[in-house]
Amino acid sequence: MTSSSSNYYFVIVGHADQVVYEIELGGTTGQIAPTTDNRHLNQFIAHAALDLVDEAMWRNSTTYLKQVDKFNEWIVSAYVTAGGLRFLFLYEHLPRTGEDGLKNFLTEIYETYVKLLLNPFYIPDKPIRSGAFDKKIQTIARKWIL
Amino acid sequence: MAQTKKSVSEFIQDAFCPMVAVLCSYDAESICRKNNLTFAELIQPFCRLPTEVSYRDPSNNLITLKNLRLEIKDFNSLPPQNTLAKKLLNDSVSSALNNGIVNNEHEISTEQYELRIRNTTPWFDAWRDCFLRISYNGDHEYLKNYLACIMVVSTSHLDPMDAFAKLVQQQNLQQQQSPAKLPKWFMTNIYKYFVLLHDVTEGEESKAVSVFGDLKQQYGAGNCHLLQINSKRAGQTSGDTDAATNMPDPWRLYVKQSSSTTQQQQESQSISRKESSMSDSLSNLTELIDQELNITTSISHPLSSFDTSSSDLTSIGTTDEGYDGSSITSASTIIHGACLTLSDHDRIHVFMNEFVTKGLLLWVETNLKTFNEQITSRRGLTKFFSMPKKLFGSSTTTAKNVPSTSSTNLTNDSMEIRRAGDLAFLFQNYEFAYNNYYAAKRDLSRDQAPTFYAGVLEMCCLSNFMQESSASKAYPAQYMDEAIDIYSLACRLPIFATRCVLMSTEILKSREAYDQAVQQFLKLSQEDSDLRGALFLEQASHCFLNYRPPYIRKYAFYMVIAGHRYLKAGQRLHALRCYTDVLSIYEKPNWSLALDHINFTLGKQSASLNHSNDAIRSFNALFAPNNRIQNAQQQINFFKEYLTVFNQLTNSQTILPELPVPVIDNSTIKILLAGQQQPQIGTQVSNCNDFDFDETRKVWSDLERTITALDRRASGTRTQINLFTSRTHNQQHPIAVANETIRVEFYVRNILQVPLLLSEVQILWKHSSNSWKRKSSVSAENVEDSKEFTNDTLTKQSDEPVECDTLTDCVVFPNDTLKIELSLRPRRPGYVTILGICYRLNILVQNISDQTTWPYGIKGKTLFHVKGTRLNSNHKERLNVMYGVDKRLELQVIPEAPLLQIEYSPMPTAMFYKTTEVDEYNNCEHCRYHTESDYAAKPEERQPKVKIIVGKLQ
Repeated sequence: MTSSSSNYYFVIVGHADQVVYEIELGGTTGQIAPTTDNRHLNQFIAHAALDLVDEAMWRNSTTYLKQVDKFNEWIVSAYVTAGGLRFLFLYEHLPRTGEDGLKNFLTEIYETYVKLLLNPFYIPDKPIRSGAFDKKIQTIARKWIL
Repeated sequence: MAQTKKSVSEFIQDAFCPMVAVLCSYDAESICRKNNLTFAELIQPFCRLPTEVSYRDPSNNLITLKNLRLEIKDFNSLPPQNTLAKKLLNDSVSSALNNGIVNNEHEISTEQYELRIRNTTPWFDAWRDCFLRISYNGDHEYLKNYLACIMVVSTSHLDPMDAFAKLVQQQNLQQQQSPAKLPKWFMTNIYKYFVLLHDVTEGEESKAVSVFGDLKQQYGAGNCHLLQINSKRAGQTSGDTDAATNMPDPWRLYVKQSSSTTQQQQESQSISRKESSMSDSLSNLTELIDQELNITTSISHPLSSFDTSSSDLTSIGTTDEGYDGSSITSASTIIHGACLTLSDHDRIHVFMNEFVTKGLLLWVETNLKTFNEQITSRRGLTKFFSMPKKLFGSSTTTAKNVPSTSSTNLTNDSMEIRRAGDLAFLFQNYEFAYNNYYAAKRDLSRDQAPTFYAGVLEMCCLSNFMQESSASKAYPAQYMDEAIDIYSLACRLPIFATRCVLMSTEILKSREAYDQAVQQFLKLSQEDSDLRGALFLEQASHCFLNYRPPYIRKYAFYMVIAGHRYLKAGQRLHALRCYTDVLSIYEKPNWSLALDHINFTLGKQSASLNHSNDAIRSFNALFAPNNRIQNAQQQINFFKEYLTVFNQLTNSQTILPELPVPVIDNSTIKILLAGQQQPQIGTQVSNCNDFDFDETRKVWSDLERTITALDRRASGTRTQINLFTSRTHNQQHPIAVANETIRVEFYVRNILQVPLLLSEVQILWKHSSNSWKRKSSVSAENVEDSKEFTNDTLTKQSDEPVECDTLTDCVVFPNDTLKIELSLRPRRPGYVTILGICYRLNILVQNISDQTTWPYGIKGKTLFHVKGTRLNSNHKERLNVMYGVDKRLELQVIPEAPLLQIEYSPMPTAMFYKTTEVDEYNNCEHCRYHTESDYAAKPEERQPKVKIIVGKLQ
């Protein structure tokens, strides 16, 4: 929890509640955040938010669900793709670009993900282990969260 | 979820039942002592009325009381001390862990999750009952004040009338003294009831009758009772054991509870005396207990004036098992009620019934009427004053028109209204109670008297709920929220906030408003007490399961937090239960950080509870191969803990434990029979010579094919296979020869981020003189024959039938694979199974100081698992994933045999059929090996020399 105010956690959750992709982002640099001892907390909170995401996605017609859950000081926003994949974004304070920036960030990640899907060697719902994808996410993060 | 046995209204009714004090003269107490009971204990099992009783409310409606229960306590009994109360709460939770385990589960299945959930949480019920029993009364309410006092004097007293008078005086003095001490009374004129206790075997009947006559004259016939007990002499029971054992003992439950209380009380006292010498765990416990209830009211808990003589009466009474203790037949050292016959029991029943119907209820009736009259007259007054308010609208400025003089009295008036409400509530006149509470609520604003206001809000909700079908107004759930907020935040009275939550959540659950119940549970889960926090979090998480659709992931999350709080509260077993319950939910792929956290906690806690198997299973899961995102430092931490736990737990074990790392790649296991005689340690990580047959495999098979094609004579012979890999046909057992080296090659992979150090690596084997197939039918007579040997032990054995070579050291780097070759030599014929490898495992860390903690690492094993090729011959095999047998690790060892060794000097580049010359013969008298080229005429035509060595090796 120390100095985690500028840290974000992003996770893509597959159809069977499995983690497809996750990354911890440092708010100021867009780099991968230094690892702390509380990394498991991100997962716990994101996992618990899935119930609310599942509920909220039927109430909203949009893909971007805004804030869906809150635990203590951590806030979870979500984005649900057309295919039913859930993007969760964990933060304590909104990025400097605000709600719109977050929305753009998630939308751009979705575009990147769609490009990844075009790769015949990638099987949907399997973990994404691609260096290029990592880099792309970080670039997008730097663009919108900076 | 988390259903309870009682219905909600029964629960609320039992939580608030009329309190009655018992004041005994010494002689009466001594008569009761014959039964090993005090008077209060004596009548306790009879305090739930089996029949319905009724009385009339102020508007002359008949109120029927069903299942009325009185709570009877000794005059001198005191609520338990803080520390003891906390210990009682802790114990109630820890002892109720395994209550009602059978048939106590239901299934919840969604698309992705299949869960088995407990129906009830007995520990929560136990805690709640205990909490309500020991919680005390606030100054703002009258619910737990004594309504009545029963004065008891026996006929053996010299002057019973005087004794009664003295008791009445004693009660009056106690009530009037200031500052007021416990016990507290409902009102100035409480109801007094007079019991003349008569010992049938000792007292005179005539005296009893005459005294009782006087008593009736003085105090009124309805307020007196002549209770005859002890119809049986204490001595008689010993002669008539059958009758004694058949007598029901309804006291057992009540008295057992109180005696354990006494013990604990004494314990806790002795603890506080010798605090310095306390063990760690105890001091932890008391610390926890201290946090448990944050009691900060003005009530002086009489710790200093603690009276040990009365301590055995503390907090008996709310277990409502009623009159059914007869079913329990377990032997106890103390027999209660030995002097009482069944007719005595009936007399006590009659006494209780008379006390309620002829005395208490009449008193209640009159008092309610008085209250009602007072209130209506006052209300007329307030109506008069509030008229302008109504006329000029409800603007706040007009509120000032209410005479300021009355505001000082307002509290008193409100207290009267509250008192009336409480009395009506206790005697199940919920409509009247609600009206009064509601009136009190209107009278007061939140800022004037927050505690009082909160109490009234709470009771408004309860009485509204208890009106059930007749309730005209909807249940005001927001009142309860407000009450909880005021209690916990404004007044800092967590004990009442807790009571509110307990009541309110039961009501909300019965109305299926689970989300509101969750809100209330979570409101109080953050507070100081860890035990209560844990229990509330757990209840909240169970509520999540009742959502439609169930919030399974929320449930899991809050269970984990609850487990964490249980740990803090020192309830390890409950913590383990919470974590294990939700473990499966996090087993979806790649939630590994969360899963690791759970497994790590489980492992550590199981280890500290000495559940070694569970601990090792949890730790092994930490190093499971799919776990890739944990960082190196965390893995080093895990590993250190693992090593520590491991060394603790496996000290007593005889067989080697299985280790999770490194991972053996089972498809790469190769077995080579007839290896080199002398193993040479090369630069490789190997203790025998390098062999890599895969590259030359094709050359060998080509050669073999050519020979068979050319040599017709050899067509009948079968080739002897010496190398077994995953690609050879392994349906037959390999045949090895005693005293010849067998070599094994395999790859290991390190999946961790930390380099691993393996040392003393050896093949793990099992040797038996019986074949594998007969293993099951080994009869007792040839046990000696079929003795099995194995090195799968921690103790070194002598006379081992298999000799192994040891690889001293090798390092497997992070995310790397390493080839390891080992050799073994069976010493006698029989059957050898290669089970796996055993080794000493340690991590290689840069920090030297870390390593010194476990200089030797841990000794353990990893097993080989081989399977044959996937079968594909028939329909069934194609549909299922089936594998053929693979016997490459099960070797048959035949007795020692001659070995033919051929050395070429020099090695020819090409050789021709029938042209090899044998030059030297070693030890070959019996050898019939001849070639035609032996007789070649000219030496220069001779082919390269071959040296053949036949014989025993070594």
